[in-house]
Formats: sequence, structure tokens, C-alpha cells
Amino acid sequence: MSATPFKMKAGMAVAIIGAIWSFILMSQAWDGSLDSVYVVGLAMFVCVMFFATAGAFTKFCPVKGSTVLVLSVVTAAVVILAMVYEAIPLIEGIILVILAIICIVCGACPGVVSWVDECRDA
Amino acid sequence: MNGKMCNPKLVGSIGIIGALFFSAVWIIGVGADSSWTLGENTLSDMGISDVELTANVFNYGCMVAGVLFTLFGIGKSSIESGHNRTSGLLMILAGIFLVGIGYFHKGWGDGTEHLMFAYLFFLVLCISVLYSMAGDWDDGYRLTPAITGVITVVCLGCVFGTTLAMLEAMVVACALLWMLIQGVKILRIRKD
Repeated sequence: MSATPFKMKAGMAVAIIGAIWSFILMSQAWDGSLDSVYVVGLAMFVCVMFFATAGAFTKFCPVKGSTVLVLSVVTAAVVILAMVYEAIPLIEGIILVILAIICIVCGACPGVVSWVDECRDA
Repeated sequence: MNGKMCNPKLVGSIGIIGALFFSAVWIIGVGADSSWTLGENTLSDMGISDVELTANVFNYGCMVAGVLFTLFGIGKSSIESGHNRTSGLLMILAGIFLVGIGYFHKGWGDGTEHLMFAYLFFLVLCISVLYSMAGDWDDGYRLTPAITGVITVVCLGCVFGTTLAMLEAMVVACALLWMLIQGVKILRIRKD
């Protein structure tokens, strides 16, 4: 098995940063009322997707190489939806979208796809 | 039609121009009519605006944009194959329906014709986008179907939680982005 590609490390690092930041935003979304459960839940969804994406950028990736891109796509989409529904603030949302796009770019690389598939076959 | 007769650069340019043109129509229409509010008014409300400039820009703009969409669809279906060809054929239909949206504006009769063309336009456009996502994946592209996937999921997510006006605006904005990306993709195809 070949050494871990840089893009795998970059994808995981960026996804972890996104996960931690969205976790903080999730806690800030709670305003003490039951009505805020919806926005907290949506922010939690963002956090969960970033963590899932981070997990996909490892040698223990549970999905196919091409599915890493799909996870990144869903993450980006969920971040945008969270912005639309005002679960996360606009500026932080834009930064999280940029992080998700970096994950998409990393996940689209043929080297990443083949490396993940190689690890799964090993 | 022989695909080799369609110049990818021309087709790609038409796609880019079509997307930018309709964006300009939207911006100019909203700029001229300050009463139009995102999320409360649909785009079609511009077609019956009290401000004549907004109404004319929107209605005629839809017709021109529809022609551009149709030409783009003809080129896309000629140059590409498989699912992307189907997407192009559906774009031809979408373009024709967009012309109908502009011609049969919201104030035409009781608005039934306008509504019919609007629903048909969005239905055909959405199916075209899905086909293009599958086609791009089959052709080995990764970034274009990824971006198409993002906008598809975003639009789906807006279906249940936003107003119809906001949903329409989101779908149109996403569709214009998709068309821009498809135009750039086709522009970069090397003609053999």
C-alpha cells in the first residue's frame, strides 16, 4: 500500500476544522427555547456531515473511493441549506462552504479515489 | 445532426451568454421595480409589474433567453452523447417553454397558460439537470456532477421549508449556475 496522498490529509484536516467549527455554531444556535431545536438540528447535521467526510479521508474509509466525493457534495449542500434556513450565520456559512468545496476538490482527485479503493482491497 | 458540425466553443459560449443574459434580466427587472421582494414575489410577478420597464425586460427577456436555451440544447445534444444528449434534448424543450412563459405572461387571460408553461419549464429543466449529472459522471467528469449534485440537493432541501417564491428563486439561480458550468465544460471540449 502506497503512502497517504497529501490530498487525503488535506481533505481530512479541512473536514475536521469544518466539523469543529460547525459544532461550535451548533451550540450557539441554541437560544433556550424549544423553537430553536430545528436550527440546532440543522447545524448538527452540518457537523455530522463534516465528521463523516473527515472519516472518509482516512485509510479506514468505509465507502468506495468515488463515494468520498458524494459525501463531500452532500456536506456542501447541507451547509448551504443551513445558511438558507438561518441555522448558521452568513459569513461562517460561506467559510464552511469553502471548506466543503476543498473537500469536493480533494475527493474528485483520481489519486484519492484509487488510494481509497486500494486500501479497501488490502 | 452530425456532432462534428457543432463547434463546442460556439455552443459553450451560447450557454454562458444565456445564463448571464437571464441573470441580467433578473437584476435589471428587480432594480427597476423596488416593490419586488425576494421570497415574497415570484419571478413571474415581474412580468405583470406596474413598472413597464420591469415587465418588458422580464417578458421579452424570457423569450430571448428561451431561444438561447433552445440553441444551447441543440448544440449540447449534437456534441455530447448518452445521458448528456438526452439532457440537451430536454433543454430544447425547456427553452421553448421559457419562450411561452415570456409570451403568455402572468396577466394573460386567467394565468392558466402561464402557469402551464412555468410548470412544464421547471419539470423539464430539472430532469435535464439530473440527466446531465449522470452523463457527466459517465463521461469521467467529477467536478461538474459534484456541483450539479450540490445544487440539486440544495433545491430539494428548499422544497419543504421555504415559500414557493423563494423556492422558485433558488431553483432559477441554481439552474443558471448549472447552465454556466455546462457552458464552460462544453467550451473546453476539444473538437476532433
